[in-house]
Order: sequence, then C-alpha cells, then structure tokens
Amino acid sequence: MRLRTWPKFWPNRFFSALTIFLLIWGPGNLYAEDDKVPGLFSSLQDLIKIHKKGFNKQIRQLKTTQLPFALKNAKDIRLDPYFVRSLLFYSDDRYLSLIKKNQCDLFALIENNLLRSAEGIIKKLVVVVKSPDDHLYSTILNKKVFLQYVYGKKCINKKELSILFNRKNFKTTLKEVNLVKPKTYQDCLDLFDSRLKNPNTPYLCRIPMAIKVGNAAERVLQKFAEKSDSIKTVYSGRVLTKNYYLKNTTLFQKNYLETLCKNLTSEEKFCAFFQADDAWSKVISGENPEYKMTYKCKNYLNIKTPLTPKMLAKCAKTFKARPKTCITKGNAGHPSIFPLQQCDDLSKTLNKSKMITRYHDCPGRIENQSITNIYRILKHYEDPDVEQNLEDNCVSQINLAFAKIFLETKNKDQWPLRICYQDLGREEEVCVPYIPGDGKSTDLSEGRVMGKILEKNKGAPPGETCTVVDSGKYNPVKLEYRLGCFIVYDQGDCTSLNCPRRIIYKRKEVEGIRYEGRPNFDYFPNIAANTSNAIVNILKSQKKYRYRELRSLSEITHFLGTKKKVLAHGVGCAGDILPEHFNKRSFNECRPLPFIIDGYIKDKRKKVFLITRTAIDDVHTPRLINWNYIYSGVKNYQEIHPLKSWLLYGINK
Amino acid sequence: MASINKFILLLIFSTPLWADSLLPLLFTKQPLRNVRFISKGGQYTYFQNGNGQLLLSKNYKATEVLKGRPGSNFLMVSTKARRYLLFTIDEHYHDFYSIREPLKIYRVRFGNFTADEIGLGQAPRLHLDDTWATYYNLQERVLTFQNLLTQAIKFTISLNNKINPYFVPQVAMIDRETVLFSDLNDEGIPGILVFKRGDEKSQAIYKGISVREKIEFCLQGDNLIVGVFGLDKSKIGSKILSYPVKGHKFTQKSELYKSKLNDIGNMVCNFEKDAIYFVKNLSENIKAKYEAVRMDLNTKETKVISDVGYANQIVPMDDKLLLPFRGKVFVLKGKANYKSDALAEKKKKKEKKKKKEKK
Repeated sequence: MRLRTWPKFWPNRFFSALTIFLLIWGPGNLYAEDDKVPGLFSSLQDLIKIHKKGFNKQIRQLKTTQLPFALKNAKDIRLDPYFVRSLLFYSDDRYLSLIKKNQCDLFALIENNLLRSAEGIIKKLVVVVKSPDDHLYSTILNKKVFLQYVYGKKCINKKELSILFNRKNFKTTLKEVNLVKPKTYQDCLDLFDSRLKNPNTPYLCRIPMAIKVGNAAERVLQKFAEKSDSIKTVYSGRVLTKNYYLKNTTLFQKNYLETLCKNLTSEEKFCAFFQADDAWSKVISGENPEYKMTYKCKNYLNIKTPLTPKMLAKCAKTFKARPKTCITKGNAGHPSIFPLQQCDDLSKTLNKSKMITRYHDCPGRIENQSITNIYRILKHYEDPDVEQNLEDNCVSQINLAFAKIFLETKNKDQWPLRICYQDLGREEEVCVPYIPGDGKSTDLSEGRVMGKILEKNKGAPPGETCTVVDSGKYNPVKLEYRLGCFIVYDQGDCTSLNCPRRIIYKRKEVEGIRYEGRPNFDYFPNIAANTSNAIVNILKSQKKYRYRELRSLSEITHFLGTKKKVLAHGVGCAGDILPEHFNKRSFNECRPLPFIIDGYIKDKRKKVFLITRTAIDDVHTPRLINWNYIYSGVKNYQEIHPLKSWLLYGINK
Repeated sequence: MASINKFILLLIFSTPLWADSLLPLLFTKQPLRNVRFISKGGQYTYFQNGNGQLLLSKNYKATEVLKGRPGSNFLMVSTKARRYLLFTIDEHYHDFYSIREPLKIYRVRFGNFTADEIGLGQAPRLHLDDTWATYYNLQERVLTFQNLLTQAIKFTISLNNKINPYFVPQVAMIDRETVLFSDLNDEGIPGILVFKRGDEKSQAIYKGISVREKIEFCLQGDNLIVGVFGLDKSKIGSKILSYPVKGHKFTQKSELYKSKLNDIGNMVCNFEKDAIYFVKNLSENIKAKYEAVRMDLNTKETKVISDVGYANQIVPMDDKLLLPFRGKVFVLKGKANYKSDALAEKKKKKEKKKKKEKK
C-alpha cells in the first residue's frame, strides 16, 4: 500500500530526544480511525489503549497486502514510525537507554529480543520500503530478513557482533568479554559507564533475557499441555535456548549479567550488588565460588537438579534475612553433629574458608572419622574442580576414594575388608579383598568381586558384575531386577562398620557369603617401628604432600597465610574441642576427633578464632573454635598417644 | 629486617601464653597416662599398659583384669556406693577414631580384678547404689538398663533422636521402676522424659525451647537437678533448676541458678551432699573466661574453684574432683599426691607413734 505522506523521521544520533517527540507529538497511525487524538495530558494508559487498537488494525491490513516488486529491488527499508512508537510503549526503559548513537543500536536491541511491541516478543516488524521508483510502501517483514538487510547495508559493526555472539562463537566470545568484579566503588562506577557504552552489551543482555523467557515458556508448557503443536514448538525452542545459555555460562556470569541488565538505568543498584559482604551475596556476585552455597541451598530447597540463579538468589535472601535457618537446615540426608551453625556466623567463616568442597559427604555414616577427614583433604588437593555427587551412595564412594589411596601402596592381601565364601572346588572357606560399592572402574569393587564369586559357585557368566542397590530402589517385580545379581543394602542402616546386605542372584537370595574386616588405619603413625603405613605418610610418599608441625596460634595463622591452598589438620579429644557436646566422666577420657583448620578470623576485639571442620561436622558448616580448645584437645591426646606425638600439622603440596 | 622481626615474634609467641595455675597437680606412682582409676587413699589403682592389659594394683601387687589387643584403651566409672566399677575397652582406639562405635562394657567389683562383660555400647553409668548399670548404643539408638545383681533383669528404651548421630542421652534411675532420660524430638529440641516400666510409656517432664540448648540432669539426694545451657552464640543463657523427686510428678520446681551467658555445664552431682559442680562462663567484655565452680544448693551461691581460664571438663574419680587441662590434671577436690603409697604412709605413722610412745 502506498503511503500518502512520509514523515521526516529516521532514527539518528538524536534518537533519544526524538522518542519523546514521537510519543507526544509524533504522527498518528495512518490507518487509525479514532476521532480522539491523544494530547499531552491524556493518561499513558489511554495512549497505550489507542495505540494498541491502531497497531492491531495496521497489522491486520498489512497482512493482506503484498509489495508490487521484489524485496531485493528495494532502494531502502526502514522501520515504520508507528511500529517504533509501539516499541517505545511496550519496551523496558532500561534497554532503550542503550540506544546511544544511531538506529543500529535499536536494531541490535531488536535482534537480541530486548524490545517488545504491542504483540510482545518481536518476530515480525512493520517496515516502510522504498520502491525502485522512489515510492514508499508499508509492509510486514520477518525479523531475520529485516536484520539481514539493514546489517548488510547500514550496520556492518552489528553484523560482526552478531556473528561473534552466535552459537558457533558464543563460548569463545564470552570468555574474551572478561567480566570482572570491581575492586572499589569508583571502579564500579567506571565499569558501569563503560558497559553502557559498549556495543556488545545488548548481546550480553540477551543471555538473562533468554533465561527469563525460557523459564516463562517452561511454566506455560507445564501448565497448558493441551496447547497446539506449533505453539509447543515455539515454547520448546525458548526452553532449549535457555538451557543452552545456562549450560554455557558460569553462575558468576549469569548473575553478573542479570544484575547489569536489570540495572542499566541505576549505577547505584548495579554497584550495590558488588558491595554486599556476606558469603551468600558474594556467591551470587561471583566473588565466592558457588560450592560455598549451592549444596546448602539445594538441601534447604530439597532440590536435586542444578540450581537456577533465581533459586540461589532465594537462598541468599533467606540465609541473610533469617539467619536461624541454617541452624537446622542444610544437612538433610548427610548426617552430622547437630545443631548446625547460624547463617550469619557461617557466612563469616565461609568468606575466609579455604577448603574446596565440591561435594556433600556424610560424616554420620562413616564410622572411622579418619576416612572423612582424609577424603576432605584429598578432594581439596587432588581433584578440586571435579564435582562429586554423593547423594545416592555416599559411604561407598568415600570408601572407594580412600581405598584407592591405600591400594596404591599396599598389596591387595593387606586390605582389611574381605568377602568370604565356601569354595566348592577347594571345599574350604576363601576370603577375597573388596572395596565397598559399585566402583566399576576397579577389579576389587564389591560388585565385581561378588560377580566372580557367583561365577565360581553359582555358574554365573564370566565377567558378571553385581549391582549394588539400595533396598528402597530394589524391586524384584521390575524387569531390570529380574536378571543378574544384586547386592541389596539399606542406606539408612548402612555405616562403614555395619552394613547388612542381601545377595540376590536370579531373584533368589544367595546364602553362605559373609563380609569381614573393618577399616582400621593409622591416621598419624602410632607405632615407631612402622610409620610408613600411616595415611599421612602414604600421602607424603605417593602424593608428595608436605607437612609442618604447628604448635602455637601464631604458627597456625602464619602458616595459613603463606599460600592459598594450605590447610592444617590434626587429632584432638572431642571433649576438649567441643566441650559443650561431649562430657568426660572417666579419668584420661579422650575420644580422638580428627579435624581440619582452613582459615581464621579476627573478631571486633581482634580475638582470633580458627575456622574448623571436625570430622563429625557437616562439610559445608565450618565452626569457629577458640585456639585454647584446639590446643587442649591436641595436648590431652598427645599425653595418651602411644608415641606421645603432637598431632597438629600444616599441609602443603 | 622485617623478616628478622617476624622470626623474633614467632619465637616469642611460639609457646602458649597463659598463667600457671595455683591448683595442685595430680601425681601418681604409675605414669599418669596409664592410670584409669585411683580409689580413695590410693588403695586400689587400675591402670593400663601398652600391651593392651588393664591391671589392678593392690598391696604392691599388680593383677590383670582384662587383656585386649596391644594399644587398647580402657575407661572406668564409679560412684560413691563403691560396689562396682564399670569399664569399656576400645581395642582399636588409635587406628579407628570413632565416637559412635559401640564398645564392650564390663563390670568389676570395686577393688577386684574379675571382670564380666555386660553389654555393648557407650557411656556406661551406675545407678541405685551400683545395683543397675546403663549404657547407650549410638548406632542402634537403644538405651539399655542392666541389673547388676541379676544378669537376667534387663530392659531397653529406644530413643526418638534421628537428627544428631552423636547425641548421648543423660540417664538417671529414681527406682527400679522409674527412670529418667533425655532425648531429642523430631526437630532436634531436647527434653527430659520419665519412663515407667509398668506403663511401658515415656512422658516428657521437661521440654526444651530451642535446638540450641543442652540439657543435663542428675539426681542429688531427693531432688532432680536440671541444667539448661545455651549452645554456641544463642542468647538462651544458662539455668539450673531443682525438682522434688517425691511423687514423680515433676511439676514443682525451684530455680537454683541463672546466668545470661551460655555456660559449658558438664555438671557433676553427688560428689557432695549439698553442692554441685559445673563449668561456668565468666567472660567479661574483651576477655573470655571459663572456670569450674561449686554451687551450694542451700545458699545458691557459686564459688569459682579453678584458675585456668579455659576450663571445659570436671571429672569425678572416687573421692577426687579433677580438672584435665592441656595435658595436665589439676585436683579440684581430694588428695593430689599418690606418689607415696598408702601402706608406706601407714607404716611411717605407726613408726612415729611407736617412737612417741617410747619417749
């Protein structure tokens, strides 16, 4: 349809000022038939109502019209001013503030789904096309087609940015963007200013927007299962996009960009995000690693899947506003000493805590507390970046990690845990070593060892591996449990010392197999004649750990300040380290309790407290302990130790 | 220069800084680390050795009470009744650090060396003039009451606590039919329950208000003494209450003590007729301080009886009250020096008497 008039408007560097003009005095819809002309003093609501009516009418009419020439022959394509007005009405101000220089900034916002028209998310645009004979026609164009045209002709820089942020290059580009946490408030203000001017900001804001749109789509799909297939495809696409961005960005990047894009018009709010000093806000801002809150948060929210930024923000808000939450919540299914620490105390300790804890162990189920302590040390030094999911088989996975260390130096025969069975060929009882749990990677895993026993005694096929399964999951009626062999145990009753199991082969319980042995190990040397067997010495020889005896508070604080990854560990009497939890009623009573110290804090009175996780504490709940109690605990154990050893050492690697 | 200064500072602060206590230290003939029980006057000494033996030293003669694996550790408890001693043996004390592991529990007649195994658990205690023993199995969460006169008489109580795997209940027996024990409810809040064997039912007589409080109790004469101590940085504070046991109603109570600070507690009852002992928080502004105190039950006055600064435990051993602290054992009440044995002292006294008589 040919236009009768042509408004003298093309977005330019004075676009911002013109937006106001357009809104108030700009040309009306050429298709609208309203008698009323909204004036300066009409309410915004009225303006929007009238606009939407006109807009819909325009779309309806344009849908039925076609250009009288091929689009490739068009001399120029521009946005219809009435459509621009729609963008101004329906889009968020904060994104409009990114239009700094020219129309290309506006196109970048459209490309990145940051603007909305009266129809919502923009898929099609109303444009004015100049024909080869210089006549103007209004029509509807697909967003992709429009952007291809304008980027090719007018906005070559945006075209390049578009390529840099496409799926093929996204990861590399994001790495190079280098999002950093400002050190001072002034740094933050400068950073904010440069971000607003940076042409890639709309491309970055696409990420939180896609996550937001994807979340909404997910809710719609869940709520309205009966939606038509075409709608489902659109919404599923949005969910896939969201998942792509969630997968390919770190929590810090997600939160950083969400904060930036949410506060494009407020530098104070943006900088406030980086100024909070509690551990929870620091996780959100990326200053603290995620594991300092994610495990506690997942447990608090009772969620097994990865946490969304929104969930983390919810936890941070709760932990900050209701500090008592952490006293009782956060260790469900991972038993440890109770009650836990208050969130605000925990926040202080986590801010200074050095130990890397990308797992949630189960101290209450590991009877030998040395194993818990050693596992924590191993995870800190050996594979700190690997997240370990211990939800389903915590005891066996920790035993396996511990056993691996032990078996690297020992003969299999000296391993204490064994499965005993009656060898029908030799007519005698035979005991073979095993490591508790599935652990398919090793021949000594319980499942494999049991498979070999059944091969000998029950004619099971060679290479059979029994599946170790919790009694809650084992269901003989199900097809998957009908064939093969299973070692069924009860996770609730299973500790490293006592874990009753049933052996099921071809749906029948196998009798005559028994488990023996207990995981006894010297944590530190106990016998002068045999010090190499102690776990600390195995770690020293195999993993090149270095130790330094720490005898005073100043030695500890000095040592912990030397390097980023150093820890201190030791063994002391529980009644001295945690006197409020354990009382002594016998002379020379001392329950040896291993512990790890990974930092210290000074309170307002400059009094030093050590950030300590005893082997019975939840790994995500370190506590502050006065040095006097630690000293008393280590000293009292030293008095009754066979070698009279002082057992508090710094670890370095 | 800076590094030299740092070195000097390290040297200065490399030894712990605290004042020496004026309390007497415990001295024994056996190395202190081996001693497990010394009776009044040092007549009987139970001690262990590196071979895994528990021995009784009496009249210059040592007799084996029990032998375990080398490195075994023994712990003994007694009461004023001096009829029996209960002890545990931990054969993997140094190579299996476990707070929850059940240990074998034995009884031995006071001053005797014949030990009988009575069960498997932790925290053995004697009750009702040493006619009953109790112990707790942390793994099974079962509290066992064992009659010591008739081995066949025994009953158990299963605890509700599912939240703290390291919780050990407090226990007291009012009579052979009525017992008191502490437990945690589903939220982890502690309480005291009375269990009547005839009814096979437990009933709460004291309910805590927060998970951050510790409840201790003991029988002192005709009264039940209940201590409530706030944990960590809670603002619960501390209080000690007294309930008359008569009638088993536990409805009347009187407050013996109250403090805004969270004391450590670890109360010791029945050491004296009209007094109990506990560890009190005496912190003021900048300085943290914890000491053992004696509280007179009649006047309700507390008196500080230690001077170590960070006391945390008070251990009764027959007629002595001890304060283990940083590898030393201070004597709060009772005789401190057991280096010279009782028989030798008696002989000396007799000789002195004879000399006087001759003169």
